[in-house]
Amino acid sequence: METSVQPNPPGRDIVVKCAGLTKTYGTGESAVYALRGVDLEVLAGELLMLVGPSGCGKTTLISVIAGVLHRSGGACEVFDKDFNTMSVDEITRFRGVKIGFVFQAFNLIPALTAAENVATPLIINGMKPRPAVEAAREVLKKVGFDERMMRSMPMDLSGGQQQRVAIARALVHSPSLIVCDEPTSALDGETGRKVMQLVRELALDQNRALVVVTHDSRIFEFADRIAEMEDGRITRVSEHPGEGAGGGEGAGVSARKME
Amino acid sequence: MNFIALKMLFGDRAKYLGIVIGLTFASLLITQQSAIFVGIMTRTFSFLTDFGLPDIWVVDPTVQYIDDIKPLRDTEVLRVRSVEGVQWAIPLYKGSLEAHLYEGRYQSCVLVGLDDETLIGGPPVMVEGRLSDLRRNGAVIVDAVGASDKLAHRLPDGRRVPLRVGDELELNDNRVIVVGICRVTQTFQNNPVIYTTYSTATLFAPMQRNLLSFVAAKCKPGVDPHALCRRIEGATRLKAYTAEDFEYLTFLYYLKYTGMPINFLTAVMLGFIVGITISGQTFHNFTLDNLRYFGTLKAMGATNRMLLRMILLQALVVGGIGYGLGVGAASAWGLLLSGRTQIAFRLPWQLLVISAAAVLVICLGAAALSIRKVMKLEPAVVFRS
Repeated sequence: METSVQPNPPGRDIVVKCAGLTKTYGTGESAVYALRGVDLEVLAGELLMLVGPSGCGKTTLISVIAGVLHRSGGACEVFDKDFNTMSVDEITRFRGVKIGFVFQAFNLIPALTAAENVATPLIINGMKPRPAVEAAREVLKKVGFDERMMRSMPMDLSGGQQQRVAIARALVHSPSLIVCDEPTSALDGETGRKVMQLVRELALDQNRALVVVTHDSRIFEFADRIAEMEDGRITRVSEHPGEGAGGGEGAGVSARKME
Repeated sequence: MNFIALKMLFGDRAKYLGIVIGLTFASLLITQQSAIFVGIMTRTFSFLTDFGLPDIWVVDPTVQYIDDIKPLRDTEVLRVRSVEGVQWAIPLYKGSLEAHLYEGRYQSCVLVGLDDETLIGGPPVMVEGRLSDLRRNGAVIVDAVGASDKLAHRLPDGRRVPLRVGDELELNDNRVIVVGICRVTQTFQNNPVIYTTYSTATLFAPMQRNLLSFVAAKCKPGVDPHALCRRIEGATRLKAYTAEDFEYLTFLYYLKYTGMPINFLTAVMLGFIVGITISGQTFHNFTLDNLRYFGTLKAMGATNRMLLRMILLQALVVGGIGYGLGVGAASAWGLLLSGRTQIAFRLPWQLLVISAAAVLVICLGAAALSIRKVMKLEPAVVFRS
């Protein structure tokens, strides 16, 4: 296995810093070691893809990074915050402000229109529904929605359109980190590419960091770096693998992987 | 978050309607059955509530309820009057006797004999005629419901001609004339009520040694009724009750010796169980269906307190709507039938509060099950496909 350690580029903040990160489900003989000492840094302005076979720990890793799952050992700081030293409410509020989510199954609330779904993070953060929906409409315009589509219920939208709504929802409150779990697995190849283009265009324009879990090799080209995982460890980190990424200045220079 | 909670609630129309219908049915059943029970129980002591004026009722010590008549000697009135603190005391007759009607039918009636001099205890509302007309020879006043129903003249074609002022009927082989029509609270047995004077009533009543049913007394101003009862009991060796205590004694008798409380309680409990099972289960299913979205909200920054408020709001909204519809339907049912039938239906504000509390318990019970699920929900669930 190879190890690559490279210095941080000047002026690029480290958004996520994990060292020796472990996560174990259960105890004793039935214990399952989902993460076995992960070292990883994610920089502002980069799109990092986590790839690997099913059960290798990708989803567990982004769950810990996003603060929806507690780690068992090691260290993990997100925007210099250690979730293990924060209360549940503090972590929840932190997520609400700093992190945006894009889910594999979109997770749009079926009773809300597209615009209302996008407004949800703003409402959670205390904004009144009417201005929140207005703000949501502006973001939906950026992902190519017209007025009729904004008023549509999720069930009336195609898979690609639903994922665009989910992306708009992840962006609307201007988070500094966006985590995407298999964002293209429910979409056909062409739609998946369009969605990833959109994610890159919109998500990285404000120096945000993106962590994308995927095993869809068709979208690898959009990554600045790709971290390959196997059996709870990062086995390889490769930089700027394809042409689609565009790769901002200094993108992905701080790849670090240790066994 | 209220906005999202309500949208989620109203968005799942099938479940929302299921919950509301369940709560409406529960609220209707609880309110309606309780109102009928209260209506019937109120009728058991309607004679006392209609009477109004006396503070104290003196009866035989073995009397168990208002219709358990154990006649007293006429002289007991004088003995009660002689007790210190009694402003006035009057004799009263109350008994059941048969009225012989035009077409040969016999009808059981409640005959009330009022004090000849004062006519205290006369019917609360006169529809036709005057109370003082009772002083005429053989005069009676008949209650309006009895006059138009059980005492009405039945024509061969089935129509009923109500008893009117000026009509005659026979009471225990004595011819009497109707001089007035009154309105009274229906009695438990729902028999017609006929008022006359005490002296006339004792003439009509079946022959027996003593005919005095009660002595009704009034306290002098400033005298404690309970203390006066004890003094009357000491002086007469009879039993003296305040009006409220006599009502309560009657109420307890019917509670204890009839199956009514169990029957009505069963119906009310059925309503409650229906509410819990239908609405509680549907609400719980509604939350389970939305668990993924609650997890999504949690991941996106919604705290447990926010989600708790959302679920409570949803539970209270369906509870409020179901309660309103149920109570509204029960009231409409009561109003509709009260005007046309002799149904006992009484809906005091206390019943509305009890019904609201029952619906609230159902809602909170249903919400508690759901809240537990949502509070324990790991936000990481959103990453599981």
